[in-house]
Amino acid sequence: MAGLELRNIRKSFGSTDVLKGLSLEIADGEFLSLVGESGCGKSTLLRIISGLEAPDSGEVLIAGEVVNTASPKDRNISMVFQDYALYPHMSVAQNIAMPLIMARLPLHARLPLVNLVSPRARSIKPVIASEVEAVARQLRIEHLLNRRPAELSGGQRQRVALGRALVRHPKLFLMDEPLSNLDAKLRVEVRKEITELHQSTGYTFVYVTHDQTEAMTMSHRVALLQKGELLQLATPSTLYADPNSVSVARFIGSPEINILPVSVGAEDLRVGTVVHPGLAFNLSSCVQIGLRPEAARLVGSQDVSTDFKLAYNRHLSEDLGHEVLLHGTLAGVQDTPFRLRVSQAIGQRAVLDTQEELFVGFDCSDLLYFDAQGERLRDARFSMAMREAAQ
Amino acid sequence: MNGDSLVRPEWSRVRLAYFLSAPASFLILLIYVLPILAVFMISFTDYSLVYDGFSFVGLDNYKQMFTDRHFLTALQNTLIYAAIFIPGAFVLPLVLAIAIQRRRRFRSILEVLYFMPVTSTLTAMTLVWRALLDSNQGAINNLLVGLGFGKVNWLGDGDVVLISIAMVSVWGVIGFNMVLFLAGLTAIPKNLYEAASIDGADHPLDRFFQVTWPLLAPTALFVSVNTLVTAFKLFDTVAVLTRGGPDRASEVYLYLAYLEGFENFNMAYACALSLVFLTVLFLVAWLQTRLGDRRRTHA
Amino acid sequence: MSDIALSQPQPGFLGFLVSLKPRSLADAIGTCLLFLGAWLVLFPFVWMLSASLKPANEVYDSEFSFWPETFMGGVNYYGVLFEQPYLTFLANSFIVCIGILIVQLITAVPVAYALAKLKFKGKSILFGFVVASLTIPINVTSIPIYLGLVEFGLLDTYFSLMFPFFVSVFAIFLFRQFFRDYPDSIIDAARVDGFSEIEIILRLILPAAVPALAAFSVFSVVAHWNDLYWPLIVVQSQNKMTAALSMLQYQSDFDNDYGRTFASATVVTLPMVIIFLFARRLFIRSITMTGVKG
Repeated sequence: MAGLELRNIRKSFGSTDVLKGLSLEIADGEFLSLVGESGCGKSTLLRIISGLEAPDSGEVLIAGEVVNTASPKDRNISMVFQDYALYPHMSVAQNIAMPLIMARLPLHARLPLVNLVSPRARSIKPVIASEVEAVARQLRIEHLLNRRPAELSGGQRQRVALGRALVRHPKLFLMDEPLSNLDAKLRVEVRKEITELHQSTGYTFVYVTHDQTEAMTMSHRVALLQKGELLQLATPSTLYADPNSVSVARFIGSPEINILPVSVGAEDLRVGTVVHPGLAFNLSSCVQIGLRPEAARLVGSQDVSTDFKLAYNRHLSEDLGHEVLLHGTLAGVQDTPFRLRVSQAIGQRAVLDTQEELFVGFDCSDLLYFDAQGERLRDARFSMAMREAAQ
Repeated sequence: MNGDSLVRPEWSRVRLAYFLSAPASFLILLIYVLPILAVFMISFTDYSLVYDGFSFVGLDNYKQMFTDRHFLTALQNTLIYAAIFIPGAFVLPLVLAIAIQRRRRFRSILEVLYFMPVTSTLTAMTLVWRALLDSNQGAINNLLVGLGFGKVNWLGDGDVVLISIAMVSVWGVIGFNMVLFLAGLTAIPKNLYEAASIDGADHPLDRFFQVTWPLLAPTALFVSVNTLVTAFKLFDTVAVLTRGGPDRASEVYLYLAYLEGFENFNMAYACALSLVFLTVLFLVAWLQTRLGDRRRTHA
Repeated sequence: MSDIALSQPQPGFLGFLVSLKPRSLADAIGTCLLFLGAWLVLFPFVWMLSASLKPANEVYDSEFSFWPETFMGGVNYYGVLFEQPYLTFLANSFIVCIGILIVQLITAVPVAYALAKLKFKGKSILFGFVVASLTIPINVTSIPIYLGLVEFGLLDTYFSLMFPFFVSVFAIFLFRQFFRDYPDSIIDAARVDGFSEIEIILRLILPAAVPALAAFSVFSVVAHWNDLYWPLIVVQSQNKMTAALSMLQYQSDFDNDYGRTFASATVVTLPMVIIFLFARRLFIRSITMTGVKG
């Protein structure tokens, strides 16, 4: 059974269509990231899932039930906000206890003063307290329970927000860019912790981020959104190796993929100064190719082992130690930057250090072919090979 | 003099600072410091503008208060007035602010309408209120009679007059406090309400008690202190509406001090009254800082 | 403030409405109640305006109708403006308010800058006096100031009307807060660029402080236009009477022509209401400024 299902969700703010009929399905226990540039609709989608906003049309199903009209509290979901949205006037313990108090105490027992005398409140408070403590222990913040949010560091606040979300054992765990307010080092750390949390709880996670690294490292599958539409929903490795369009190819991967204009003849393919004859399949509508910076390699001036070999005009190199990142252009395509990752490991570095003139070599099977609209042109042979390579 | 060249920018800045502060400092001395000292001194004398000469009488002016029937009446009137005025001036604007803040379409226009009395000249509007509250032909009594109630002698009945004045004052201050509450409400992050709604607190009462009220507390403290001080400072409405009548039933503290000082020319006694008043104001201000500090360290 | 309300995304609100569908009726009732309340709050203004158009014998008619049977508006207002000295009263109020404001700004801005950005001995003592003076109302210091004015024979002059307000400790406090938030790095950069301190104040700080200056100006003008207490003490003759003070004359049935009475009340109230309608934001900011920063 699907943990979450969205059917043809539409939403517009005034005259701007933010979501244009979006459907997707998330398996129970899956970790799915919604990723895209700001304004792509990913946060709106999350808010629609949570019930903070209603879709203009379409259906939201949680665990097989349509919840379109259900209020957030009836959906049994948790949400971690970008800036955590901790209640500043409550202690950490009170913050974490909030969802339990709301769920288990009747309204009158929650009111100030009345809650002091309500027998129900009295009997249930210790239970809640022990559950809060258990969650705090799990997140290693039990020593902070009496502090206020203002007295905590960013990382600690983050944990409190996680605690408040965890304590109610939700069906669905929603996170809205939860790492964006942390510094780089902490981000990597918390990233790992969230992944572990997902593994230990087995909840269904929906994670919104603009950071592809977060999306790629944490999720089972990534949904890439652009301008309110789902570009591709796939595992991280598929998104990387087998993108559906130029947009996906560009968004995923750092440094960015090289996109080069090409011209296609009857049975040949021209990239820059080089024409490769004998294409075995029809690519007549192909106008651009994509080539990952590590898919090409430096070759010697005499080397003829690759389908393409082009002179490389290096503008700048960034030495990262384990690899060197080259910025430059290929002969015949001077207008288009070409990035190249030269890895220490496979002996490419030696070529870079010894050769005066650089040549870049790559094969037809290394290329991703796109038409004028940026749609991927797939050749059965190649994509099979790539899938194997990816796995 | 040679070493001066090193520190010159600082020196010239210090000189500039004195130059910039001089006019205001001189005026503060003249308008606040010396008068307060004078009030203090005069309050220990029997000085009056209409008699020549004066002598020191020690604490006599202060002792006189405890036996002065008018003083005790004025004190009592002020407290009764405050007890009627403050709840109205606090609760009504709070309710209005919460009701208006949620609205998108009518928010601006409602804000303007409720704010109108704040901008108006209270002395002129009090004149209007005197006509509306007129016991025989005023619009309010006409309305009461129309609804089947009896007439109320709003300004002539000693038991009612403070309520009438409080009513006019509340009318004048609703917009003011409402704007303060609106500012406080607007400053509450929207995502706290969202977090609360995810946590299950989506009943209006939960929203209010779990989020709005605690986060509005600093504003509420400011508004209540401000309203308290406004209550003690009541003068204009009394001066126009009743002149303390009937039979001193609406004579409040500052009005008494004014009468003693500028009608009866009991300057020394008026000074003692003023100083007691100032002491109360300082106490309130001190209390406010204390409460504010505590809140801040706890927040 | 309503800027913020407007910038709230519409869908959030619509979504909110959707989630509240069964209660939209309650919402409509709430809106009606709010407007009913607004009508009650505004009624005195409506009544005043209406009375100012009526002959004396109609003002207290038991059946209230906005439009008079006999239209006397022209006569009433003509009487107020040209037969009674209301133009003088208005001019007096205007002179006093503007005079006070100008001196307040001239005295407050420099000292506020010194307190905010310069280091000098006695700074904290001076600031202490400013803060302490914030609590002192004119009602407490009126007697010595009055006696001083008597001593110099200055009663019943514009000077006497303005003098106690020549320095506004509130303005100093407010501007100091405002200036303190101005980045030091920009001031240092200006010093490096060769600005003198005076130029820094005039060309950097003042332009940046315009919102605070404007809001305070509104606050000050309104406060002194409406002030009754001090004019009541120092004004002795009709030709120095302020508009607000003039209202007190009707207490002793100064004028039995009720229509004309309320025409004069309208004339006195109108200037501030007009300023409010045109400078609503400033008005509201002038109030929130008192409360937001403490």
